[in-house]
Amino acid sequence: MTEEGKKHVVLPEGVLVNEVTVKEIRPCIVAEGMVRALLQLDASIDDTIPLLMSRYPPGKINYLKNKNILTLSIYDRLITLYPSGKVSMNKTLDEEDALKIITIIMEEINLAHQEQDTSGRQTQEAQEKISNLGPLDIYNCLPQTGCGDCGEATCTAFAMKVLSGDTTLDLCTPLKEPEYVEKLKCLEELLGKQVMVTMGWNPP
Amino acid sequence: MDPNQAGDKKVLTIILTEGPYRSQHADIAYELAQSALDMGYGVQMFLYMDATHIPKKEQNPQSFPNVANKFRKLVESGADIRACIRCATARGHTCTPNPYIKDVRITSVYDIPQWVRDSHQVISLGG
Amino acid sequence: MDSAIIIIDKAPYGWEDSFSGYYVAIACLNRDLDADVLLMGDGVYSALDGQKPQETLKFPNVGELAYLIFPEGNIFVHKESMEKRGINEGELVEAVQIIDDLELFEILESKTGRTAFIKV
Repeated sequence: MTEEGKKHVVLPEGVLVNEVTVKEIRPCIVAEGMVRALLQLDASIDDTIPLLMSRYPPGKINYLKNKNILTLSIYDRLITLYPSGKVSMNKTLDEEDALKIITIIMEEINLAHQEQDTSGRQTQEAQEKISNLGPLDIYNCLPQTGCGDCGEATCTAFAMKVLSGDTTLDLCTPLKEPEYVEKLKCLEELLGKQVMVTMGWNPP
Repeated sequence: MDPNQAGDKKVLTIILTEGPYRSQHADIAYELAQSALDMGYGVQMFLYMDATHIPKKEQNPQSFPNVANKFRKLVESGADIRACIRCATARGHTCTPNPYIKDVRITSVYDIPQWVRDSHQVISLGG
Repeated sequence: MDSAIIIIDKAPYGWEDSFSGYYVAIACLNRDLDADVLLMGDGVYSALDGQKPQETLKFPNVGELAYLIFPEGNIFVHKESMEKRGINEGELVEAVQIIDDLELFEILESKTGRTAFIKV
């Protein structure tokens, strides 16, 4: 393919991806008045895509395993990442908006790539675990006090929202209490430290 | 319109993609549509790509039945027939004010999803 | 009917059908109607990567249209049709999914009843 389109150097110090080329801006098919941006990163992200998944809540992810294509439902849009480094993004305001968001994603890609260098296999195993999680798995590792501090009516509701990425783990105040340290350990074993952070847990 | 409501007239949508005479799809579509109309069904026909030639006025086939006349009958029997503006324009049918037989409207491909929603059955006929 | 599957069995540029078929899928998705594309027979050529019709034929690039449809809609490429034509997966644009006959059956079975089958 010819390399037409404007190249932008957005992360000059990035370990994997530094530049993004805007290949095409088209009318968005699902949102009137908005655009769909087709972008090309300057490196293949074939190895990084599986690692990127643990950085997002399972409810925000759609992964085509046999093609290694990841679609993220974040920032009010769908962002599809292809192994070749091609990216499509719908419901975008304009080119500037696309560049702003892709820069954030590229930072995550670079971080995920760095972690591969240090903890490779472990992250991939964690990833396998996460894709099979259900709300009950999370619920079983919660204190289940029904206190309502998290803003949800029930602990089950909280577990569902944690999984879908619509709330954060750190809102569960009982989880920070010493008497529920076993539950905290249960969660850490279930999710792994990276996904705990992804789900909004701030280690004290 | 929700096609699931009991008592609603059932609607058939036919999508055509081929032009007249070289193939018989327009004639087959006519027979299908006329039967459906006779049985009390609603019929919608979307003319796409070369099918935008079908409703052209002043056709004069020497050896075959005139397909525009057939479609005229369908319109008179209550069929809603529309043609794709992009395809019709590409083929030169929008440079005159009334290129088609009466009541065949030139609209857009966006009618297809709306019609798919409204219909009980969708048939596409073409090569 | 609450979804559509658009079936394309003609090669691009030789026929307008694959371009126009993709456009029907785009129109459906634009109006919130679920739509997928199925490429079979010669239609699988539409999914080849590296098409450059703009320079020679002055036609739009059909292969790239796949990136306007996925992930909101799927583009399925029939495996047997590919194999008969000597096309392998690496030659296709990334946004398509290759399906064998069993997967095709499962997809069609799941769609029967409420899906409009539109062959362009």
